[in-house]
Amino acid sequence: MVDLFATSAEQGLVLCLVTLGIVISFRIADFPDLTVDGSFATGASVAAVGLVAGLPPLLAVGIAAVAGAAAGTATGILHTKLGISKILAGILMMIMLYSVNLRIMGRSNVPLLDVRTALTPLENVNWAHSAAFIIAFGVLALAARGVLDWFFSTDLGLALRAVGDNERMAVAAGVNPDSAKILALAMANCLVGLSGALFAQTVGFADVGMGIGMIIIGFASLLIGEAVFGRRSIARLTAAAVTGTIIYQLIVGTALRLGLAPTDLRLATGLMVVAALGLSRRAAQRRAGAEAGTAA
Amino acid sequence: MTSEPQADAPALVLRLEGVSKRFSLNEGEAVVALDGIDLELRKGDFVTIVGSNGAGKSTLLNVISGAVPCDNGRVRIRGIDVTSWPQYRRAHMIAVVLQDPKTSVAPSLTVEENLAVALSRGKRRGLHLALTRSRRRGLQEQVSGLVHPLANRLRQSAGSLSGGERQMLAVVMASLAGADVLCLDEHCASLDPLRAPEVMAVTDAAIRNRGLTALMVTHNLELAVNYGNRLLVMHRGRIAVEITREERAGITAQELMDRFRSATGGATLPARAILPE
Repeated sequence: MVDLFATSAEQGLVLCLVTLGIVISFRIADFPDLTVDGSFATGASVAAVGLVAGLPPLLAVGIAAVAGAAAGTATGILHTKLGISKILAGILMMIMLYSVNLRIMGRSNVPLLDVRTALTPLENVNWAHSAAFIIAFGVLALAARGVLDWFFSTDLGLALRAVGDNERMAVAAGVNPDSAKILALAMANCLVGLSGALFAQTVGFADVGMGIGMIIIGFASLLIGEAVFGRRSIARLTAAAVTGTIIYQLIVGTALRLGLAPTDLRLATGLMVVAALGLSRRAAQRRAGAEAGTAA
Repeated sequence: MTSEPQADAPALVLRLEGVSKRFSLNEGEAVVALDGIDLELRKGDFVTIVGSNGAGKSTLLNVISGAVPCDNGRVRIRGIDVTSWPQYRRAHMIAVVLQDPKTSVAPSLTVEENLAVALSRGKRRGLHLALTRSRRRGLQEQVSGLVHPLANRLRQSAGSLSGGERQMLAVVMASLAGADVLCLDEHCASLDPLRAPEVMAVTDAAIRNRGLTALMVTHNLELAVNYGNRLLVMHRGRIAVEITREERAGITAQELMDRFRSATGGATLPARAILPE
């Protein structure tokens, strides 16, 4: 049981960076960005190749995060400068990144078992080494959350939120909507790339297919977190992202222990998202009905 | 509608030179929304614009604000040619209040966050906190001066405001950062008859207190004759009648209607144009 909690917390704290990215793109910038499935693997690929080439681990992780940001920027440019719809721009980038990631790695999988990674110092901690991972990833997750909470309370962050909330109003107030969207996608996919880089080092390999379904996992995590914290403020959204991802990993870990076939995991996650969206829609309709009744 | 400047005339703020705009319809047809409009606004002018549906009133404001590019002609603000500038780049010169309360504010942001976004109009948006204690105090004072009830609701989400309150907030936002021209596009038209006069009073106070230069499109002749110091009536993309500053005092809605009929060869304004909004 303790092992289940430890594994869920460890994985959740790494993958909550993806969910934080989804908060930026889906919730704040109102951009359903499907780049995530590709940029997660891009982060993993770049970090793995860098580590195998002998780069300092933190530098390799930093380059992976920048690569993720570059992928997000490219999606933003496809949408804002070429007029491609948000969904299609993300799908195109996700598909193109598959080939890019294969190019980066030179093959479909790069093992990291005998390579010094950013996590190697933690593996050498004698006392409960799982706790060391949780503390390290926890600090990183809280730092990422803190940076986002601060950024979205600045003038620039507020402008970005305004574009996602009401683009006409934001433009009338002098915000360049194209720059705001590109910045949002760059930030979101920077976090996703960072998560991919850390995830690859946690599991000991980078694989070209490791990002498939990541968008749904992140979205399911966010919906779970929002059920706990709501989404009325940025602080609540980022708290929902971190907590929701850990809870999601706990649910998945429990389900697997209870006999769910790993091959059915994506199906189960998808059904969970469908159920959550359906329930939230019905709740919204009930609220609207109640308000209409009160008004009448 | 330009005139020779007088020595003591207020500074020229907005100048339109031969501005035209066509919209393409199906099967190669096009409708002329603006047909060679010439217009000058001097500092402190409050121009009301009326006209029938499709006369080009809203298109005129959209071309001035940069929301819609013009096909021909020039738009100059304080002598600067902004014709090719996108709307966000003109925003520090031109503030806009839209007709629909749903589009005039960002509903998920709080009232004070909406104000902070508007306050940074024309400034470089950096990584400093948008709502410091002193900035909050300043915003509260600004709002208290115009819309007292909103001053106590600065931390509420703008989405929780009624349509009238949103329009009042939008007026305050538009008047905050010292834009050269305020464009009001039927901003009272979607409101109930009780709320519209309140919003109009806030608008008038903002224009007077801050010495703004304003253009207001309305379908309501009562508003058009009761507010402002100049009045334009548009018809088929042209300015059919201009009531100058000198003629403006004392003109009634009926006299305006008669002059419009005479200038357009018998055209009439729609019935709702003379009904209170």
